[in-house]
Amino acid sequence: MISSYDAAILENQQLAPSIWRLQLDVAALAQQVRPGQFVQVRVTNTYDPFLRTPLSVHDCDAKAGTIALLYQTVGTSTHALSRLRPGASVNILGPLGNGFTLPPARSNGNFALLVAGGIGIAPLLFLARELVAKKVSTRLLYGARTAADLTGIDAFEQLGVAVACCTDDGSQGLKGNVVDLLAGYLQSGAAGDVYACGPTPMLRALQQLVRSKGLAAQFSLEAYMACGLGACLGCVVAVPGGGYAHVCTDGPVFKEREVEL
Amino acid sequence: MSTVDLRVNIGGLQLKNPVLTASGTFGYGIEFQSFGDLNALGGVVVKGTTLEPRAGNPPQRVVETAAGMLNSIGLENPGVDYFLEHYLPQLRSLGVTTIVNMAGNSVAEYCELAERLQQPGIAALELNISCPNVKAGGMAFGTSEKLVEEVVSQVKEHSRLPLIVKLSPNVTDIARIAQAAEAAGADALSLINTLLGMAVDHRTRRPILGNVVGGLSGPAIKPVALRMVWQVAQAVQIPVIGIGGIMTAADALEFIICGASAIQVGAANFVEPVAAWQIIDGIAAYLKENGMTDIKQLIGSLEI
Ligand SMILES: Cc1cc2nc3c(=O)[nH]c(=O)nc-3n(C[C@H](O)[C@H](O)[C@H](O)COP(=O)(O)OP(=O)(O)OC[C@H]3O[C@@H](n4cnc5c(N)ncnc54)[C@H](O)[C@@H]3O)c2cc1C
Ligand SMILES: Cc1cc2nc3c(=O)[nH]c(=O)nc-3n(C[C@H](O)[C@H](O)[C@H](O)COP(=O)(O)O)c2cc1C
Ligand code: FES
Repeated sequence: MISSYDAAILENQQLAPSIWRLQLDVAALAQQVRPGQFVQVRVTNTYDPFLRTPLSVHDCDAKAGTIALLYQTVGTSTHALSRLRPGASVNILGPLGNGFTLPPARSNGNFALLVAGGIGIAPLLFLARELVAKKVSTRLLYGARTAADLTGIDAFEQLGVAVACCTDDGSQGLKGNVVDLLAGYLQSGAAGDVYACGPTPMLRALQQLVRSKGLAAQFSLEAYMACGLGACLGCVVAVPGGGYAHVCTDGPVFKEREVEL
Repeated sequence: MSTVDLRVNIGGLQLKNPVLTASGTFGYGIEFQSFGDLNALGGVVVKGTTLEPRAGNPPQRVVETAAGMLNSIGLENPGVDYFLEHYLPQLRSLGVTTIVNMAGNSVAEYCELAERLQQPGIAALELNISCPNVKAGGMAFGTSEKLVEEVVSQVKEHSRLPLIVKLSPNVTDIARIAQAAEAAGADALSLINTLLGMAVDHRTRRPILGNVVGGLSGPAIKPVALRMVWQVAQAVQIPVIGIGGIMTAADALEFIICGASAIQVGAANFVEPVAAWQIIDGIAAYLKENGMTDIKQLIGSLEI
């Protein structure tokens, strides 16, 4: 059930020049949230910023009762968030959205290809954790602007996920974008279910690639949101055949063929 | 709280307290069920409803602005038939005081809509002649005294339910529009709808909203809304419902003091989904603290 929680900040740590990881003590949420779902964070109690900030659940430890958010400082809200310190608390609404559809447990022969562009890495760690727990063989393909922007690879490797990287400037891994990285990987005849999150142009290119290879894919999308609850009808994405879907309630995760990017 | 009487009568619409949720900001109420008892609210004004389903405007549809937000939803809604089949039975079984916000492109459309909405479970109609986000109709009706008179008097002939006329702030003299609606038979007025606004990205030199312009709401518009509610309350005899930037009980009380018999909570629902419930409690607490027993003692009590 969607609820409002005052979550104590356990840690708010800078991982890269503009990327932070926020760890929250919020047991009731940690026990029900699924990979791909998000929360609406009220960063301050002022009217500036006014709206809440939607952030994906990056990681979750149901036993410890904690969740982690991974965020990029891009504007007022995210910068304000980076100034909060342990001991303080933030109000969050969640769990919101549908989350990724996971394959049935122990479905042998299932391969998962996680594809992240930039901060699109955020929802994929929690997903990887659950896939690995289901014994799904999981690989991460991760692209960012520079080596410094590639964050949290260790956490994936600790789960036993194979990681391949690329950067726009070639400072780490292949020089190029993550869709090219995936195309190269698929050339060997490899296949798998694709789970992706990243900027829209990346997802658009990825959509073409997975269609040409006949792979199933789920995309976690972003849209500018006001409520996150299905009430304002602000967060739309076009769907094939006309009309719109609502990213906060119908998504944020969509099957690749459900959306016009 | 049992000692204070929060009941108000809005042109024949009996409310258990003066706190309603504003159209387009609270869905059909169902979306907020996990945050509180919908039945404890004065009422829920549902999303603007049209005869036919509408897909709404292209994205981007919302953007934050200083102490507020712009929206250009464009009246996305599943149409009146779907509302009657799908949402009304749920609202009825929950006992929610349901007010339907109606939008149309022509007087005939408004009348047909009003007729279709004469249903058990609907407590009142709110005539939206003030939506800035649709090309035909919408705000065009609400900015001309002659059109306001025509649409209000015609809809009254097709409806037995209390009719609340929702006014646009995008006019030169809101008191005259209010008087035109009153003369044509409106049972109550609600104001304000959003102020027409715009946001631009200087880096890309493009408008941020897909529709280019949109409606401004939130705390940024409260002073304008308060002034208009005060002016209109003085200009008409029928009850006035105050809307615009109400975030807290203090905000709501200011509107009531300026002459509003009830208020609607809008964009605040996005920021704090329990806002409407908190405002009810806050109003009751204020009355008690000030030795009042009835909300009606406060309505229009502004001292100048
Ligand atoms: C479902 C969902 C999950 C997300 N998960 C993450 C995540 O895990 N990590 C992360 O870093 N970012 C995530 N985002 C994006 C994040 O919400 C925005 O970066 C953040 O809101 C920017 O706010 P700001 O005030 O710092 O920047 P602003 O200066 O306000 O805006 C910077 C950019 O963020 C976009 N943005 C601003 N406000 C919103 C909003 N309310 N809704 C959507 N987009 C907005 C703007 O269009 C602009 O492009 C997610 C977005 C959505 C919709
Ligand atoms: C996202 C959004 C959608 C809205 N949709 C409608 C609508 O369908 N019909 C209507 O009469 N007003 C609509 N409004 C206007 C509100 O009901 C209200 O009049 C306005 O937002 C001012 O109040 P606020 O500042 O408290 O939000 C909408 C407002 C917002 C923010
Ligand atoms: S963000 Fe309000 S409906 Fe999706």
